[in-house]
Amino acid sequence: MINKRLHTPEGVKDFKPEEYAYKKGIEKIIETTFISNGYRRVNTPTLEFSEVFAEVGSDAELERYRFLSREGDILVMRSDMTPAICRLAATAYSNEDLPLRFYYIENMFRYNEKNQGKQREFTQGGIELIGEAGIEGDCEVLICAVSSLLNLGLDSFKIDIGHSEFLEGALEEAGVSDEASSKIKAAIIDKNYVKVSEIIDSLDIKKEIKDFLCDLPLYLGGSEVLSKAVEIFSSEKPLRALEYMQKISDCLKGCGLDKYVSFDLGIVPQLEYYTGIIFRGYALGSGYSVLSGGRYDRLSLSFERSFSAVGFALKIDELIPLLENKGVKVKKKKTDTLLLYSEKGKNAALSTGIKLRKGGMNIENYYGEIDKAIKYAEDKGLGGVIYFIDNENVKLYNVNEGEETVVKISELLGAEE
Amino acid sequence: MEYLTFALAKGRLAEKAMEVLSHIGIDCEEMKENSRKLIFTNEDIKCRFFLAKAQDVPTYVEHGAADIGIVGLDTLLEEHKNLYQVMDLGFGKCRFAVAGKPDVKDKLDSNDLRVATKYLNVAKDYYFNRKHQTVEFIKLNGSVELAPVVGLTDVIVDIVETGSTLKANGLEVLEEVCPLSARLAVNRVSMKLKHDRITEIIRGLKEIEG
Repeated sequence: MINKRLHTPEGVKDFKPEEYAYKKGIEKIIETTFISNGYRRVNTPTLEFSEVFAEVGSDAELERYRFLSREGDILVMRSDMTPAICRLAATAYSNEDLPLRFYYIENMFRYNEKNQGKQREFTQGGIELIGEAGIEGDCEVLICAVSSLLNLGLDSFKIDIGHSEFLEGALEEAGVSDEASSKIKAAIIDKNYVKVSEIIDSLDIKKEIKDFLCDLPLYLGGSEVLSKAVEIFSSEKPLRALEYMQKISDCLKGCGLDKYVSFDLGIVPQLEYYTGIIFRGYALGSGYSVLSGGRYDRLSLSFERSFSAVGFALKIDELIPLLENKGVKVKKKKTDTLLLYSEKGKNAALSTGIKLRKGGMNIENYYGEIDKAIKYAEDKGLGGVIYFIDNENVKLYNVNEGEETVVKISELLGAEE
Repeated sequence: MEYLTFALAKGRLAEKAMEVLSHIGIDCEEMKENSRKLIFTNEDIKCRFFLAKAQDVPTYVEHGAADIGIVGLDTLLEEHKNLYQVMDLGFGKCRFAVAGKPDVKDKLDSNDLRVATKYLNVAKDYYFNRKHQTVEFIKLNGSVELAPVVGLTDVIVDIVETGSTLKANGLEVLEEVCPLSARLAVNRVSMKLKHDRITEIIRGLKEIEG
């Protein structure tokens, strides 16, 4: 038994000031990238009716925090921002308002498995581009995804792009039965390629396609992977998906970002709402994916509208240890000055403090003796100490240089103005 | 170039794995020396190796502490981690089976069966999802064969290689669960970012196997 008063539940945690400042600093960099791409911040509630998330898929349902409200509704804590933003766009905007560019940086909640190094409350920052169909929208979002990682100071990363229709089409062309097809997809989602091969081996299908499917994990790489696959297939569905990915590849090559992407023909959509490209970002030094996204043109139908949409989310908690290890720095606002006083200069100290803070300084109060105060300022890395000798005079200490000067309070405030 | 890190399941499997890898030019002199080192490096081919308890190999691979793991399917099934299972290496062959005294044969499909096992997840999957049977499990940590002998349970679910331990204790295989062998497991990020080197290994191993 643990003393619950002293602990936090599984998967949630406290942030101390230094950790939190770092996290907020990273979020700021991400936010700047989103804003510079023309996206505007939205927020949706932490709680939603469970129906909002109904299209996401049954596996994801088990991961959600669900409970009954007093009114008897089943509520969920948001586990993913996309359905909520889709709901917002569907209900608060009309077709004339499209396209919409929204971004968010919020905490999500999921029953991630215990002891797996994953939090159950975690932060995602992402964008949703609503009402921009096809290649233009996809490329915009992919470029924004690459830029976000580059702007964070990462360089060894890849965004792995697949297409939700490709494998479906490949299996259809091969004439694989629905039953075998769903077994294959389940094995792929499970990343169990030994099982994929076993199932494929037992099927009576064209040799080229059989070999292709058995080698699926090897079909990952630059656009050469696409050209290789084009040779193998002849029906419309897989070829259309390949052609589409080729266009994406050309576009990214055109703007010099092709080295940050790879194409993966073995991707199966894990979330049921994806309808076109699906992608995940991987960075060297992190064992988990740091970004995921895709197109979800059909999701709006569940909100009684029809618009295309594409987006991605960065997994900020996975990025932080990676960025720390790389020595990525963030801008921090910190306290710069110590306001030292005793009973004698108290009134002047507190009222001057108010004025100086209004002028933009970050000041910490210290009631006590000079020597201890200077030591304290040194330890905390504060540059200056303002000692209120009485209600008229102050002594200014420059902690780093060891200098001190006596001035009148009126002069001090005059200098500030 | 970044290191490629291998996690190997301690024991016979690791020895066999190093032997197979040596055929495709991956070896490590440092490992053959008798030392107290925990991690072994071959700078020439930029590979690192470490030995871990079999159950921990999938964990190292899942979190990316190792790019590649070589471990038995038994462990992968029991631990069920998020990683790529890319290849059946063909060695370390054995099987999961239900074993017990011959006289419990007619009780095998009944719901009051008691089952001892080290592999609780495997056993649950077998009874709940494949046999659709509700049984009682007792988790043990070693010498599982003892359970039916001393009457703790009716049967066991365990790894069977030759069956000689079973035989010596008056037990026999009553049901086959699934065949097992060593597997090549790959971390999901390494699969993407170190794809060329990993592909080369998979192709190489398939060739010598083929």
